[in-house]
Amino acid sequence: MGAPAVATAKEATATRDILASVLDHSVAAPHRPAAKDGLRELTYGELRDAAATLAAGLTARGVTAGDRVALQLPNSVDFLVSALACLWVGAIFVPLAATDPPARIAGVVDDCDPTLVLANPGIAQWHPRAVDLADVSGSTTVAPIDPADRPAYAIYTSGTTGTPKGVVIGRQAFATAVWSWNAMVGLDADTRAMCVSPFHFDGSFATLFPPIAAGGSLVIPSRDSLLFPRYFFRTLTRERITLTGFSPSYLRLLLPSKELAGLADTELRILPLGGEACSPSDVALLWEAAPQLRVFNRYGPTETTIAVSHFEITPDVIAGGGAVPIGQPHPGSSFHLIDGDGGLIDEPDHVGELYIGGEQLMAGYWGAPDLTAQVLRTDVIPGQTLYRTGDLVRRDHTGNYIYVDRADRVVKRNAVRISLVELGEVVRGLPGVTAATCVAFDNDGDLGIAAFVVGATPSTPAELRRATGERLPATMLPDSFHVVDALPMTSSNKVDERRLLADAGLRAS
Amino acid sequence: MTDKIRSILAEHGKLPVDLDTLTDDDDLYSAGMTSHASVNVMLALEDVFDVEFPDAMLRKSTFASVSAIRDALATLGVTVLTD
Repeated sequence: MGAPAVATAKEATATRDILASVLDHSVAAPHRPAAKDGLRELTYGELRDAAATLAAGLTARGVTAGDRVALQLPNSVDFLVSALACLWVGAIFVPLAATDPPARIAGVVDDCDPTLVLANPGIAQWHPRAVDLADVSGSTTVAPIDPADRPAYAIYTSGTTGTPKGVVIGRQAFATAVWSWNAMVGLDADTRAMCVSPFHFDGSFATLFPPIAAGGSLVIPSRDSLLFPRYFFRTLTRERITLTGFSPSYLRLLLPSKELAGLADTELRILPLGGEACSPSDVALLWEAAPQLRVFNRYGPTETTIAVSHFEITPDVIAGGGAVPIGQPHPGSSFHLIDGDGGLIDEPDHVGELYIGGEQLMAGYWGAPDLTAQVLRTDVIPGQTLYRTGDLVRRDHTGNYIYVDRADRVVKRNAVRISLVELGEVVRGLPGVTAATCVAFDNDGDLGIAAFVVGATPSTPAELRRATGERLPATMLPDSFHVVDALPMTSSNKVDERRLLADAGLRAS
Repeated sequence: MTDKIRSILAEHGKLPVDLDTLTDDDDLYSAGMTSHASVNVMLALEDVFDVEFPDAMLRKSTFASVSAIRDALATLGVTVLTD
């Protein structure tokens, strides 16, 4: 058994609490711009005052440390102020998806039982504890609570199967994740970041909290407007944005835009991509337009706090055409690959399920000790708690880890193991295909694989089948091909597989 | 103008339902128009009516129904000659 990839404590970066960092900047540079959206713009001093006023208001309404406060707010300065106010009083903030169906939101609220639901006037205040954020203020200032060992936030993950689970993340894990990334790319007061991904999805925190902890400035456009690539590019240019981040699906939306050609002339330098597998060909197209960009592939389940590894993509990796590595674990975190028999894998190029240890592990699922015990394992390596990711990963000869697939996305059809992700990549590589994904479906009781294909030039399902058949053995071919106009996305910018299946009249497997 | 809007929607809106079954006020997103399709609708409207939507109008709601699109074009000075 060789040494797993563990960073030593000495390598761990300073991990000042996020709220404490913001307060530091409010003292050192109160007039520096902190955050703006379409409605308002706050300096660090104003951000501190707004958070203090809201913290006093939360206290006046009976919120105490450990209470949950749900944030039914769109991407906005209001969201940032609310999150900081919750940290201030030690409440756990729970972002709700503004666009989710009411039934799902109600399920999340029932589960976390918040003391308050902070909402905007525009949003239907259906919950008895929902209050208009503007009405929550207090005049009796309260001191920020000692952050030691407290939970910071809970993010509800949809999970691929049914009931949402509330992932509770502690203050220390939160700070470790933020400062690891800051140290890697050197964010500072000159950083100007644009938030793109929705704040109910913790991947979005990668462009929200690290810049603000570093004393930089945030621009938070309306999600409704970012849907239009032209709006994205214009805001990026006008606001002299140096850092932004989003999902590979959003990148795919931007690439065909004619404004892409101007990206080289902007101040954008740092672009982390994450939330799903990163396509080398899309990064190649991006670099053709803007070779100055440092593009990162970030990896991390919500349960290990925002991102637990980053890989700075190199031209060599793109030229190689293979999968983009997810890099190596952050300082203070460790990766372990476990084979089907529960043994540690030490050799390179052997695929195993990834278990993660260290400082970024969640505290647990809210109110679900049994579910927590299923994934936070103490029986794999004695004396260590490891999070079981459900992700299949291998390590290459240079020590970088490479994501292969979800363990449950490797399907077995007629005794042949097939990775739906790898299959999707093959279909995507066909001439004239701009996007593709493969999804398992219930094929009259057997497991079927459906390929959904977006084409630049029209192809029929039969042509696609023939072209795929020239590249893959018959045992791996999808059972059906569906030509679609676009791959629909979920509210967290991932391909909406359920909708694809439903539109094609197929049942999920 | 409504006819032109409807023909653009028929070509670029990629709705899973027949556009003729929708009234001018029905929500196109609820009817299945994807975000991606609405970007293409926006670009086609600019082409056909020779306008440019300013940043402030680049919002989902601008393209949410036939009447919303008609109102948006009217704001941009597209005049209704015959309809």
